[in-house]
Amino acid sequence: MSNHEVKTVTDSETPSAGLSRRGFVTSAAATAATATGLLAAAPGTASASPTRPFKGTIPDVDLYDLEVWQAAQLIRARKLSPVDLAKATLARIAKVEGGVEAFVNPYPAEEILAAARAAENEIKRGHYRGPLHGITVGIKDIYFTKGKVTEGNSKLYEGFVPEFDATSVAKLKAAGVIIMGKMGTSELATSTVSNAKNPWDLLRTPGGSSSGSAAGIAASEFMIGMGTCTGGSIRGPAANVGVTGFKPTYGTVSLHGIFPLAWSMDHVGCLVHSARDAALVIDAVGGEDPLDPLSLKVKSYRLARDMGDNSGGKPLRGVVVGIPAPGDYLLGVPNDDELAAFDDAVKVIRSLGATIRTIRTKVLLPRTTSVSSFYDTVRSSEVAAYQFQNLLTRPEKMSEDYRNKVSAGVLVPGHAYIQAQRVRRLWRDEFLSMFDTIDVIIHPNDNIAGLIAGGGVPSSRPSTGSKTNIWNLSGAPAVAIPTGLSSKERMPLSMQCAAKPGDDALALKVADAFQSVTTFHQARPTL
Amino acid sequence: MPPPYDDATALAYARQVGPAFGLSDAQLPTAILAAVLNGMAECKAVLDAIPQATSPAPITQLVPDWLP
Repeated sequence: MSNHEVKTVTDSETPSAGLSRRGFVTSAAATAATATGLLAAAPGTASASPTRPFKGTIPDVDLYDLEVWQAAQLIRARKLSPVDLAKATLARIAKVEGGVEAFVNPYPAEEILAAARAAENEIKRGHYRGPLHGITVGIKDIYFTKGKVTEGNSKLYEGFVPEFDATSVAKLKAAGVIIMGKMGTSELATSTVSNAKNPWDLLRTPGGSSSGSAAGIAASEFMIGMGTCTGGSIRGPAANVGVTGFKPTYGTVSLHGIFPLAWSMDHVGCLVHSARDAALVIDAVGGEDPLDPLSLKVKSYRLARDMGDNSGGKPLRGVVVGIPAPGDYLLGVPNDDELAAFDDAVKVIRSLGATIRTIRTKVLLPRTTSVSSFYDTVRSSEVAAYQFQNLLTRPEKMSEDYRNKVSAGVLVPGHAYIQAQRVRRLWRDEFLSMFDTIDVIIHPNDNIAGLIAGGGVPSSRPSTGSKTNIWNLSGAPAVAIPTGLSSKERMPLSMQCAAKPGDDALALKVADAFQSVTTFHQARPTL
Repeated sequence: MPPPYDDATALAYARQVGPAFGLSDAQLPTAILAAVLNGMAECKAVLDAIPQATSPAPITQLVPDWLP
Protein backbone atom coordinates (compact mmCIF):
# COMPACT_ATOMS: atom_id res chain seq x y z
CA MET A 1 0.00 0.00 0.00
CA SER A 2 1.33 3.42 -0.86
CA ASN A 3 1.56 6.22 1.58
CA HIS A 4 -1.36 7.88 -0.13
CA GLU A 5 -3.94 5.19 0.14
CA VAL A 6 -6.50 4.62 2.78
CA LYS A 7 -6.72 1.08 3.92
CA THR A 8 -9.83 -0.75 2.92
CA VAL A 9 -12.32 -1.32 5.68
CA THR A 10 -14.13 -4.60 5.49
CA ASP A 11 -16.93 -6.02 7.51
CA SER A 12 -14.56 -8.59 8.91
CA GLU A 13 -12.34 -6.00 10.47
CA THR A 14 -12.99 -4.82 13.95
CA PRO A 15 -14.22 -1.26 14.23
CA SER A 16 -11.02 -0.34 15.97
CA ALA A 17 -8.83 -1.68 13.21
CA GLY A 18 -6.64 1.07 11.91
CA LEU A 19 -7.20 3.12 8.83
CA SER A 20 -3.76 4.20 7.79
CA ARG A 21 -3.06 7.80 7.00
CA ARG A 22 -1.04 9.52 4.40
CA GLY A 23 2.68 9.68 4.49
CA PHE A 24 4.11 12.79 5.97
CA VAL A 25 6.29 15.64 5.00
CA THR A 26 6.47 17.50 8.25
CA SER A 27 5.17 15.09 10.80
CA ALA A 28 3.69 15.90 14.14
CA ALA A 29 5.74 13.32 15.95
CA ALA A 30 8.89 14.67 14.40
CA THR A 31 7.82 18.14 15.40
CA ALA A 32 7.17 17.04 18.93
CA ALA A 33 10.57 15.48 19.16
CA THR A 34 12.46 18.35 17.63
CA ALA A 35 13.21 21.67 19.22
CA THR A 36 11.60 24.24 16.99
CA GLY A 37 12.19 27.94 17.19
CA LEU A 38 9.19 28.16 19.41
CA LEU A 39 10.42 25.47 21.72
CA ALA A 40 13.72 27.26 22.03
CA ALA A 41 12.02 30.51 22.89
CA ALA A 42 11.55 32.14 26.23
CA PRO A 43 11.15 29.69 29.08
CA GLY A 44 8.12 29.59 31.30
CA THR A 45 4.75 28.04 31.21
CA ALA A 46 1.72 29.12 29.31
CA SER A 47 -0.38 31.64 31.17
CA ALA A 48 -3.78 30.29 30.27
CA SER A 49 -4.99 26.73 30.11
CA PRO A 50 -8.77 26.77 30.30
CA THR A 51 -8.98 23.15 29.27
CA ARG A 52 -6.89 20.41 30.72
CA PRO A 53 -5.02 18.34 28.15
CA PHE A 54 -6.70 15.27 26.80
CA LYS A 55 -4.95 12.00 27.28
CA GLY A 56 -3.48 10.45 24.21
CA THR A 57 -0.40 10.32 22.10
CA ILE A 58 0.49 12.51 19.16
CA PRO A 59 0.35 10.44 16.00
CA ASP A 60 3.02 10.55 13.35
CA VAL A 61 1.05 12.42 10.71
CA ASP A 62 1.31 15.55 8.66
CA LEU A 63 0.88 18.67 10.75
CA TYR A 64 -2.26 19.62 8.84
CA ASP A 65 -3.76 16.22 9.59
CA LEU A 66 -3.64 16.70 13.34
CA GLU A 67 -6.83 17.06 15.28
CA VAL A 68 -7.30 20.36 17.09
CA TRP A 69 -6.76 18.91 20.55
CA GLN A 70 -3.54 17.27 19.43
CA ALA A 71 -2.13 20.40 17.84
CA ALA A 72 -3.25 22.43 20.84
CA GLN A 73 -1.26 20.23 23.19
CA LEU A 74 1.82 20.67 21.06
CA ILE A 75 1.35 24.41 20.71
CA ARG A 76 0.69 24.85 24.40
CA ALA A 77 3.83 22.87 25.20
CA ARG A 78 5.71 25.01 22.65
CA LYS A 79 6.57 21.98 20.60
CA LEU A 80 4.64 23.14 17.57
CA SER A 81 5.02 26.56 16.05
CA PRO A 82 1.81 28.17 14.73
CA VAL A 83 3.95 29.53 11.91
CA ASP A 84 5.12 26.04 10.96
CA LEU A 85 1.53 24.83 11.11
CA ALA A 86 0.35 27.70 8.93
CA LYS A 87 3.13 27.10 6.41
CA ALA A 88 2.37 23.39 6.21
CA THR A 89 -1.31 24.17 5.76
CA LEU A 90 -0.66 26.73 3.03
CA ALA A 91 1.45 24.16 1.22
CA ARG A 92 -1.35 21.66 1.58
CA ILE A 93 -3.87 24.13 0.17
CA ALA A 94 -1.58 24.88 -2.77
CA LYS A 95 -1.43 21.18 -3.49
CA VAL A 96 -5.08 20.16 -3.27
CA GLU A 97 -7.31 23.21 -3.61
CA GLY A 98 -7.27 23.18 -7.40
CA GLY A 99 -9.19 19.92 -7.29
CA VAL A 100 -11.27 20.45 -4.18
CA GLU A 101 -12.39 24.07 -4.71
CA ALA A 102 -13.45 24.47 -1.11
CA PHE A 103 -12.56 28.16 -0.84
CA VAL A 104 -14.39 31.09 -2.34
CA ASN A 105 -12.05 33.62 -0.77
CA PRO A 106 -8.71 32.26 0.41
CA TYR A 107 -6.98 34.83 2.53
CA PRO A 108 -3.54 36.02 1.34
CA ALA A 109 -0.63 33.92 2.55
CA GLU A 110 1.16 36.95 3.99
CA GLU A 111 -1.92 37.79 6.06
CA ILE A 112 -2.16 34.22 7.35
CA LEU A 113 1.52 34.08 8.21
CA ALA A 114 1.32 37.45 9.96
CA ALA A 115 -1.52 36.12 12.11
CA ALA A 116 0.46 32.96 12.83
CA ARG A 117 3.54 34.99 13.79
CA ALA A 118 1.40 37.12 16.10
CA ALA A 119 0.04 33.98 17.76
CA GLU A 120 3.51 32.56 18.09
CA ASN A 121 4.88 35.74 19.60
CA GLU A 122 2.06 35.88 22.10
CA ILE A 123 2.70 32.33 23.18
CA LYS A 124 6.44 33.05 23.45
CA ARG A 125 5.58 35.89 25.78
CA GLY A 126 3.59 33.51 27.93
CA HIS A 127 0.14 34.54 26.76
CA TYR A 128 -1.48 31.31 25.65
CA ARG A 129 -5.11 32.03 24.85
CA GLY A 130 -6.40 28.48 24.95
CA PRO A 131 -6.82 25.40 22.81
CA LEU A 132 -7.68 27.24 19.59
CA HIS A 133 -4.62 29.48 19.73
CA GLY A 134 -2.75 29.06 16.46
CA ILE A 135 -5.30 26.61 15.03
CA THR A 136 -6.35 26.93 11.39
CA VAL A 137 -9.97 27.67 10.51
CA GLY A 138 -12.12 27.98 7.39
CA ILE A 139 -15.33 30.00 7.68
CA LYS A 140 -18.50 29.44 5.69
CA ASP A 141 -19.18 32.47 3.54
CA ILE A 142 -22.40 33.40 5.29
CA TYR A 143 -20.58 34.52 8.43
CA PHE A 144 -19.86 38.25 8.38
CA THR A 145 -16.16 38.94 8.43
CA LYS A 146 -15.14 42.53 8.98
CA GLY A 147 -13.41 43.98 5.93
CA LYS A 148 -13.70 40.73 3.99
CA VAL A 149 -16.09 40.05 1.15
CA THR A 150 -19.06 37.99 2.34
CA GLU A 151 -21.42 36.96 -0.44
CA GLY A 152 -23.15 33.80 0.71
CA ASN A 153 -23.06 32.53 -2.88
CA SER A 154 -25.83 35.00 -3.62
CA LYS A 155 -26.00 37.68 -6.29
CA LEU A 156 -27.92 39.75 -3.75
CA TYR A 157 -24.70 40.25 -1.82
CA GLU A 158 -22.07 40.46 -4.53
CA GLY A 159 -19.17 42.50 -3.22
CA PHE A 160 -20.69 42.92 0.25
CA VAL A 161 -18.03 43.77 2.81
CA PRO A 162 -19.35 43.68 6.39
CA GLU A 163 -18.33 46.37 8.81
CA PHE A 164 -18.31 43.95 11.71
CA ASP A 165 -17.55 40.35 12.50
CA ALA A 166 -20.21 37.84 13.37
CA THR A 167 -20.09 37.27 17.11
CA SER A 168 -18.76 33.77 16.55
CA VAL A 169 -16.02 35.08 14.26
CA ALA A 170 -15.07 37.68 16.85
CA LYS A 171 -14.87 34.93 19.46
CA LEU A 172 -12.72 32.79 17.19
CA LYS A 173 -10.36 35.70 16.69
CA ALA A 174 -10.26 36.30 20.43
CA ALA A 175 -9.36 32.64 20.84
CA GLY A 176 -6.35 33.19 18.60
CA VAL A 177 -7.28 31.17 15.53
CA ILE A 178 -5.65 31.56 12.15
CA ILE A 179 -8.36 32.16 9.55
CA MET A 180 -7.44 30.63 6.21
CA GLY A 181 -10.35 32.11 4.27
CA LYS A 182 -14.02 31.96 3.43
CA MET A 183 -15.57 28.71 2.32
CA GLY A 184 -18.11 27.84 -0.33
CA THR A 185 -21.76 27.55 0.63
CA SER A 186 -25.02 26.81 -1.04
CA GLU A 187 -26.81 30.04 -1.93
CA LEU A 188 -27.61 31.61 1.46
CA ALA A 189 -27.33 28.14 2.99
CA THR A 190 -30.14 26.57 1.00
CA SER A 191 -30.13 26.70 -2.80
CA THR A 192 -27.55 26.90 -5.62
CA VAL A 193 -24.60 24.72 -4.70
CA SER A 194 -21.00 25.86 -4.46
CA ASN A 195 -18.16 24.52 -6.58
CA ALA A 196 -16.75 22.43 -3.75
CA LYS A 197 -15.93 18.79 -4.50
CA ASN A 198 -15.92 15.76 -2.24
CA PRO A 199 -12.27 14.97 -1.43
CA TRP A 200 -13.06 11.25 -1.33
CA ASP A 201 -14.18 11.38 -4.96
CA LEU A 202 -13.90 14.64 -6.83
CA LEU A 203 -16.79 13.61 -9.06
CA ARG A 204 -19.05 13.61 -6.05
CA THR A 205 -20.56 16.43 -4.04
CA PRO A 206 -19.73 17.13 -0.41
CA GLY A 207 -23.38 18.07 -0.01
CA GLY A 208 -24.58 21.31 1.40
CA SER A 209 -24.98 23.79 2.56
CA SER A 210 -21.69 23.92 4.46
CA SER A 211 -20.00 22.43 1.41
CA GLY A 212 -16.71 24.34 1.43
CA SER A 213 -16.20 23.86 5.14
CA ALA A 214 -16.81 20.13 4.69
CA ALA A 215 -14.59 19.73 1.65
CA GLY A 216 -11.83 21.81 3.21
CA ILE A 217 -11.66 19.94 6.52
CA ALA A 218 -11.78 16.59 4.75
CA ALA A 219 -8.95 17.70 2.46
CA SER A 220 -6.95 18.89 5.49
CA GLU A 221 -6.94 22.50 4.34
CA PHE A 222 -7.66 23.62 7.93
CA MET A 223 -8.51 22.02 11.26
CA ILE A 224 -11.89 23.62 11.90
CA GLY A 225 -14.60 24.30 9.36
CA MET A 226 -17.28 26.64 10.66
CA GLY A 227 -20.73 25.80 9.37
CA THR A 228 -24.38 26.54 9.89
CA CYS A 229 -27.30 24.18 9.91
CA THR A 230 -31.04 24.74 9.43
CA GLY A 231 -32.02 21.26 8.31
CA GLY A 232 -28.79 19.27 8.21
CA SER A 233 -26.21 21.52 6.59
CA ILE A 234 -23.47 20.50 9.01
CA ARG A 235 -24.20 16.83 9.69
CA GLY A 236 -25.11 15.99 6.10
CA PRO A 237 -21.88 17.25 4.57
CA ALA A 238 -19.91 15.87 7.51
CA ALA A 239 -21.34 12.44 6.76
CA ASN A 240 -20.58 12.80 3.07
CA VAL A 241 -16.92 13.62 3.60
CA GLY A 242 -16.15 11.44 6.62
CA VAL A 243 -15.67 14.05 9.30
CA THR A 244 -17.32 14.95 12.58
CA GLY A 245 -20.07 17.55 12.37
CA PHE A 246 -21.68 19.02 15.45
CA LYS A 247 -24.81 21.10 15.86
CA PRO A 248 -25.21 22.10 19.50
CA THR A 249 -28.45 22.88 21.31
CA TYR A 250 -30.38 25.71 19.68
CA GLY A 251 -29.16 29.06 20.97
CA THR A 252 -25.79 27.83 22.19
CA VAL A 253 -23.89 29.95 19.68
CA SER A 254 -24.95 33.42 18.64
CA LEU A 255 -26.49 33.86 15.20
CA HIS A 256 -25.58 37.55 15.15
CA GLY A 257 -23.77 38.48 11.96
CA ILE A 258 -24.78 35.43 9.94
CA PHE A 259 -27.17 35.54 6.99
CA PRO A 260 -30.33 33.91 8.34
CA LEU A 261 -32.28 31.22 6.59
CA ALA A 262 -34.88 30.46 9.27
CA TRP A 263 -34.15 32.01 12.64
CA SER A 264 -36.02 29.42 14.68
CA MET A 265 -34.05 26.53 13.18
CA ASP A 266 -30.67 28.09 12.33
CA HIS A 267 -27.76 26.71 14.31
CA VAL A 268 -24.07 27.55 14.35
CA GLY A 269 -21.75 24.56 14.55
CA CYS A 270 -18.56 23.08 13.25
CA LEU A 271 -17.02 20.41 11.06
CA VAL A 272 -13.91 18.92 12.59
CA HIS A 273 -12.22 15.57 12.86
CA SER A 274 -13.35 14.52 16.32
CA ALA A 275 -15.90 15.07 19.03
CA ARG A 276 -13.14 16.42 21.25
CA ASP A 277 -12.42 19.07 18.68
CA ALA A 278 -16.10 19.95 18.41
CA ALA A 279 -16.31 20.48 22.16
CA LEU A 280 -13.32 22.80 22.09
CA VAL A 281 -14.82 24.85 19.26
CA ILE A 282 -18.19 25.29 20.92
CA ASP A 283 -16.52 26.17 24.22
CA ALA A 284 -14.76 28.98 22.36
CA VAL A 285 -17.67 30.37 20.36
CA GLY A 286 -20.68 29.56 22.56
CA GLY A 287 -22.35 31.72 25.13
CA GLU A 288 -24.98 34.39 25.59
CA ASP A 289 -24.84 37.29 23.18
CA PRO A 290 -26.78 40.48 23.88
CA LEU A 291 -26.84 41.02 20.12
CA ASP A 292 -28.75 37.77 19.59
CA PRO A 293 -31.96 37.61 21.63
CA LEU A 294 -32.31 33.94 20.68
CA SER A 295 -29.06 32.95 22.35
CA LEU A 296 -29.37 31.03 25.60
CA LYS A 297 -28.67 32.82 28.87
CA VAL A 298 -25.53 30.82 29.49
CA LYS A 299 -22.37 32.83 29.93
CA SER A 300 -20.00 30.19 28.64
CA TYR A 301 -19.71 26.49 27.96
CA ARG A 302 -17.27 23.83 29.10
CA LEU A 303 -18.28 20.91 26.98
CA ALA A 304 -14.72 19.58 26.71
CA ARG A 305 -14.58 19.31 30.47
CA ASP A 306 -18.15 18.15 30.93
CA MET A 307 -17.90 15.27 28.48
CA GLY A 308 -15.18 13.82 30.65
CA ASP A 309 -12.23 11.58 29.94
CA ASN A 310 -13.42 8.77 27.72
CA SER A 311 -10.11 7.31 26.77
CA GLY A 312 -10.06 4.11 28.75
CA GLY A 313 -12.04 1.40 30.47
CA LYS A 314 -15.81 1.68 30.41
CA PRO A 315 -16.40 5.41 30.03
CA LEU A 316 -20.06 4.96 29.11
CA ARG A 317 -20.98 2.99 32.21
CA GLY A 318 -24.17 4.56 33.55
CA VAL A 319 -25.13 6.07 30.20
CA VAL A 320 -28.31 4.72 28.61
CA VAL A 321 -27.99 4.78 24.85
CA GLY A 322 -31.09 4.29 22.75
CA ILE A 323 -31.10 2.58 19.38
CA PRO A 324 -34.06 2.58 16.99
CA ALA A 325 -36.21 -0.53 16.98
CA PRO A 326 -36.48 -2.55 13.76
CA GLY A 327 -38.78 -0.70 11.38
CA ASP A 328 -38.30 2.62 13.15
CA TYR A 329 -38.15 5.78 11.04
CA LEU A 330 -34.56 6.37 12.11
CA LEU A 331 -33.50 3.04 10.62
CA GLY A 332 -35.14 3.87 7.31
CA VAL A 333 -31.82 4.14 5.52
CA PRO A 334 -31.46 3.08 1.89
CA ASN A 335 -27.94 1.74 2.08
CA ASP A 336 -27.11 -1.63 3.61
CA ASP A 337 -23.50 -0.63 4.29
CA GLU A 338 -24.71 2.25 6.42
CA LEU A 339 -26.85 -0.11 8.48
CA ALA A 340 -24.08 -2.69 8.82
CA ALA A 341 -21.65 -0.04 9.98
CA PHE A 342 -24.23 1.15 12.48
CA ASP A 343 -24.71 -2.36 13.84
CA ASP A 344 -20.97 -2.58 14.36
CA ALA A 345 -20.99 0.81 16.06
CA VAL A 346 -23.67 -0.36 18.48
CA LYS A 347 -21.41 -3.23 19.50
CA VAL A 348 -18.61 -0.78 20.19
CA ILE A 349 -20.85 1.50 22.24
CA ARG A 350 -22.02 -1.49 24.25
CA SER A 351 -18.45 -2.61 24.83
CA LEU A 352 -17.70 0.79 26.30
CA GLY A 353 -20.12 0.12 29.15
CA ALA A 354 -23.26 1.80 27.86
CA THR A 355 -26.63 0.31 28.57
CA ILE A 356 -28.27 -0.19 25.18
CA ARG A 357 -32.03 0.24 25.06
CA THR A 358 -34.10 -0.36 21.95
CA ILE A 359 -36.77 2.29 21.49
CA ARG A 360 -39.51 3.28 19.10
CA THR A 361 -39.20 6.96 18.21
CA LYS A 362 -42.10 9.26 17.40
CA VAL A 363 -40.79 11.09 14.36
CA LEU A 364 -44.12 11.30 12.58
CA LEU A 365 -47.27 12.70 14.14
CA PRO A 366 -50.56 11.06 13.20
CA ARG A 367 -52.13 12.80 10.17
CA THR A 368 -48.77 13.99 8.88
CA THR A 369 -46.74 12.40 6.14
CA SER A 370 -43.48 14.11 7.03
CA VAL A 371 -42.00 16.65 9.38
CA SER A 372 -41.72 18.76 6.24
CA SER A 373 -45.41 19.46 6.72
CA PHE A 374 -44.44 22.06 9.28
CA TYR A 375 -40.70 22.42 8.56
CA ASP A 376 -41.31 23.82 5.06
CA THR A 377 -43.86 26.35 6.25
CA VAL A 378 -41.62 27.54 9.07
CA ARG A 379 -38.60 27.81 6.78
CA SER A 380 -40.39 29.59 3.96
CA SER A 381 -42.24 31.99 6.25
CA GLU A 382 -39.07 32.98 8.08
CA VAL A 383 -36.92 33.39 4.99
CA ALA A 384 -39.75 35.39 3.40
CA ALA A 385 -39.72 37.73 6.36
CA TYR A 386 -36.02 38.42 5.81
CA GLN A 387 -36.04 38.60 2.02
CA PHE A 388 -39.47 40.04 1.11
CA GLN A 389 -38.08 43.42 0.11
CA ASN A 390 -35.40 41.81 -2.04
CA LEU A 391 -38.05 39.63 -3.66
CA LEU A 392 -39.99 42.75 -4.61
CA THR A 393 -37.06 44.79 -5.84
CA ARG A 394 -34.33 42.40 -7.00
CA PRO A 395 -35.86 39.00 -7.75
CA GLU A 396 -33.41 38.51 -10.61
CA LYS A 397 -30.63 38.29 -8.02
CA MET A 398 -32.13 35.10 -6.60
CA SER A 399 -31.87 31.65 -8.14
CA GLU A 400 -35.21 30.14 -9.07
CA ASP A 401 -35.00 27.68 -6.18
CA TYR A 402 -34.22 30.38 -3.62
CA ARG A 403 -36.90 32.67 -5.04
CA ASN A 404 -39.42 29.84 -4.79
CA LYS A 405 -38.65 29.35 -1.11
CA VAL A 406 -39.05 33.05 -0.40
CA SER A 407 -42.19 33.62 -2.44
CA ALA A 408 -43.88 30.50 -1.04
CA GLY A 409 -43.45 32.05 2.39
CA VAL A 410 -44.96 35.32 1.22
CA LEU A 411 -48.02 33.60 -0.17
CA VAL A 412 -49.08 31.48 2.80
CA PRO A 413 -51.21 33.31 5.35
CA GLY A 414 -49.74 34.38 8.65
CA HIS A 415 -51.86 31.97 10.61
CA ALA A 416 -50.30 29.09 8.66
CA TYR A 417 -46.96 29.92 10.21
CA ILE A 418 -48.49 29.95 13.66
CA GLN A 419 -50.30 26.68 12.96
CA ALA A 420 -47.01 25.13 11.88
CA GLN A 421 -45.36 26.31 15.09
CA ARG A 422 -48.25 24.89 17.12
CA VAL A 423 -47.84 21.51 15.45
CA ARG A 424 -44.09 21.80 15.87
CA ARG A 425 -44.64 22.18 19.60
CA LEU A 426 -46.84 19.07 19.74
CA TRP A 427 -44.34 17.17 17.64
CA ARG A 428 -41.33 18.32 19.65
CA ASP A 429 -42.81 17.23 22.96
CA GLU A 430 -43.67 13.83 21.51
CA PHE A 431 -40.37 13.42 19.74
CA LEU A 432 -38.19 14.41 22.68
CA SER A 433 -40.13 12.16 25.04
CA MET A 434 -37.67 9.44 24.00
CA PHE A 435 -35.25 11.06 26.42
CA ASP A 436 -37.52 10.16 29.33
CA THR A 437 -35.98 6.70 29.17
CA ILE A 438 -32.61 7.18 27.48
CA ASP A 439 -29.75 9.66 27.73
CA VAL A 440 -28.52 9.59 24.16
CA ILE A 441 -29.86 8.13 20.93
CA ILE A 442 -27.62 6.89 18.16
CA HIS A 443 -28.85 6.25 14.64
CA PRO A 444 -27.39 5.88 11.17
CA ASN A 445 -27.15 8.79 8.80
CA ASP A 446 -28.36 8.10 5.32
CA ASN A 447 -25.94 10.19 3.38
CA ILE A 448 -23.70 8.63 0.81
CA ALA A 449 -22.49 11.43 -1.38
CA GLY A 450 -24.09 11.61 -4.79
CA LEU A 451 -22.43 12.36 -8.08
CA ILE A 452 -22.19 16.02 -9.02
CA ALA A 453 -23.42 15.14 -12.49
CA GLY A 454 -26.49 13.59 -10.93
CA GLY A 455 -27.42 10.14 -9.79
CA GLY A 456 -27.20 8.72 -6.35
CA VAL A 457 -26.23 5.43 -4.86
CA PRO A 458 -28.38 2.55 -6.09
CA SER A 459 -30.71 1.30 -3.41
CA SER A 460 -33.37 -1.28 -3.04
CA ARG A 461 -35.56 0.96 -0.88
CA PRO A 462 -36.21 4.64 -0.30
CA SER A 463 -35.24 6.62 2.75
CA THR A 464 -37.96 7.26 5.30
CA GLY A 465 -36.96 10.91 5.21
CA SER A 466 -34.48 13.35 6.65
CA LYS A 467 -32.49 12.13 9.64
CA THR A 468 -31.11 15.61 10.25
CA ASN A 469 -33.86 18.24 10.22
CA ILE A 470 -35.60 16.58 13.16
CA TRP A 471 -32.74 17.75 15.35
CA ASN A 472 -33.09 21.30 14.02
CA LEU A 473 -36.83 21.35 14.59
CA SER A 474 -36.37 20.04 18.13
CA GLY A 475 -33.36 22.22 18.94
CA ALA A 476 -31.55 19.18 20.32
CA PRO A 477 -27.79 18.65 20.01
CA ALA A 478 -26.58 16.14 17.44
CA VAL A 479 -23.17 15.09 16.24
CA ALA A 480 -22.42 13.10 13.10
CA ILE A 481 -19.36 10.85 13.24
CA PRO A 482 -17.76 8.54 10.67
CA THR A 483 -18.41 4.81 10.92
CA GLY A 484 -16.47 3.44 7.96
CA LEU A 485 -16.47 3.34 4.19
CA SER A 486 -19.05 1.88 1.84
CA SER A 487 -18.07 -1.41 0.25
CA LYS A 488 -18.55 -0.44 -3.38
CA GLU A 489 -18.10 3.32 -3.70
CA ARG A 490 -15.53 3.56 -0.90
CA MET A 491 -17.35 6.61 0.40
CA PRO A 492 -17.73 7.58 4.06
CA LEU A 493 -20.49 6.20 6.26
CA SER A 494 -21.79 7.96 9.34
CA MET A 495 -24.05 7.89 12.36
CA GLN A 496 -25.46 10.52 14.66
CA CYS A 497 -25.42 10.79 18.44
CA ALA A 498 -28.13 13.07 19.81
CA ALA A 499 -29.40 14.04 23.23
CA LYS A 500 -32.08 16.25 24.68
CA PRO A 501 -31.52 20.00 24.53
CA GLY A 502 -28.86 21.00 27.01
CA ASP A 503 -27.24 17.58 27.10
CA ASP A 504 -24.65 18.41 24.49
CA ALA A 505 -21.82 17.02 26.58
CA LEU A 506 -23.57 13.64 26.81
CA ALA A 507 -23.99 13.36 23.04
CA LEU A 508 -20.35 14.32 22.59
CA LYS A 509 -19.28 11.92 25.31
CA VAL A 510 -20.73 8.96 23.45
CA ALA A 511 -19.11 10.15 20.22
CA ASP A 512 -15.77 10.74 21.93
CA ALA A 513 -15.81 7.35 23.60
CA PHE A 514 -16.51 5.72 20.24
CA GLN A 515 -13.69 7.65 18.61
CA SER A 516 -11.35 6.76 21.46
CA VAL A 517 -11.45 3.10 20.43
CA THR A 518 -12.01 3.38 16.68
CA THR A 519 -10.05 5.04 13.90
CA PHE A 520 -12.66 5.89 11.30
CA HIS A 521 -12.36 9.59 12.10
CA GLN A 522 -8.64 9.40 11.40
CA ALA A 523 -9.07 8.27 7.81
CA ARG A 524 -8.12 10.82 5.19
CA PRO A 525 -8.91 10.74 1.47
CA THR A 526 -6.28 10.31 -1.18
CA LEU A 527 -5.67 13.57 -3.01
CA MET B 1 -60.60 16.79 1.95
CA PRO B 2 -59.52 18.71 -1.17
CA PRO B 3 -56.95 17.08 -3.42
CA PRO B 4 -53.38 18.02 -2.62
CA TYR B 5 -51.79 20.83 -4.53
CA ASP B 6 -49.35 20.20 -7.33
CA ASP B 7 -47.07 22.82 -8.85
CA ALA B 8 -49.68 23.85 -11.41
CA THR B 9 -52.55 24.30 -8.97
CA ALA B 10 -50.23 25.99 -6.49
CA LEU B 11 -49.20 28.44 -9.20
CA ALA B 12 -52.86 29.12 -9.93
CA TYR B 13 -53.33 29.94 -6.25
CA ALA B 14 -50.24 32.13 -6.36
CA ARG B 15 -51.60 34.06 -9.33
CA GLN B 16 -54.73 34.81 -7.34
CA VAL B 17 -52.98 35.90 -4.18
CA GLY B 18 -49.64 37.22 -5.40
CA PRO B 19 -50.78 40.63 -6.67
CA ALA B 20 -52.03 41.50 -3.19
CA PHE B 21 -48.42 41.26 -2.04
CA GLY B 22 -47.01 43.13 -5.02
CA LEU B 23 -45.75 40.00 -6.77
CA SER B 24 -45.75 39.78 -10.54
CA ASP B 25 -45.73 36.56 -12.51
CA ALA B 26 -41.93 36.48 -12.55
CA GLN B 27 -41.85 36.47 -8.75
CA LEU B 28 -44.31 33.64 -8.23
CA PRO B 29 -43.08 30.22 -7.14
CA THR B 30 -42.74 27.53 -9.76
CA ALA B 31 -42.18 24.85 -7.09
CA ILE B 32 -42.16 24.41 -3.31
CA LEU B 33 -45.44 26.27 -2.72
CA ALA B 34 -47.41 23.08 -3.29
CA ALA B 35 -45.48 21.32 -0.53
CA VAL B 36 -46.02 24.25 1.80
CA LEU B 37 -49.75 24.39 1.10
CA ASN B 38 -50.12 20.65 1.50
CA GLY B 39 -48.18 20.82 4.74
CA MET B 40 -50.49 23.58 5.86
CA ALA B 41 -53.46 21.29 5.28
CA GLU B 42 -51.81 18.53 7.30
CA CYS B 43 -51.14 20.91 10.16
CA LYS B 44 -54.78 21.95 10.10
CA ALA B 45 -55.83 18.32 10.25
CA VAL B 46 -53.61 17.71 13.25
CA LEU B 47 -55.00 20.69 15.12
CA ASP B 48 -58.60 20.04 14.12
CA ALA B 49 -58.36 16.65 15.79
CA ILE B 50 -57.64 18.29 19.15
CA PRO B 51 -60.35 19.94 21.22
CA GLN B 52 -59.80 23.67 20.86
CA ALA B 53 -59.62 24.22 24.59
CA THR B 54 -56.66 21.89 24.90
CA SER B 55 -54.94 22.70 21.63
CA PRO B 56 -51.33 23.74 21.87
CA ALA B 57 -49.87 27.20 21.85
CA PRO B 58 -47.14 27.75 19.28
CA ILE B 59 -43.50 27.39 20.04
CA THR B 60 -42.36 30.78 21.18
CA GLN B 61 -39.48 29.62 23.30
CA LEU B 62 -37.35 27.72 20.88
CA VAL B 63 -35.86 25.30 23.32
CA PRO B 64 -37.73 23.50 26.07
CA ASP B 65 -38.56 25.20 29.30
CA TRP B 66 -35.93 23.37 31.33
CA LEU B 67 -33.18 25.46 29.72
CA PRO B 68 -32.39 29.03 30.71
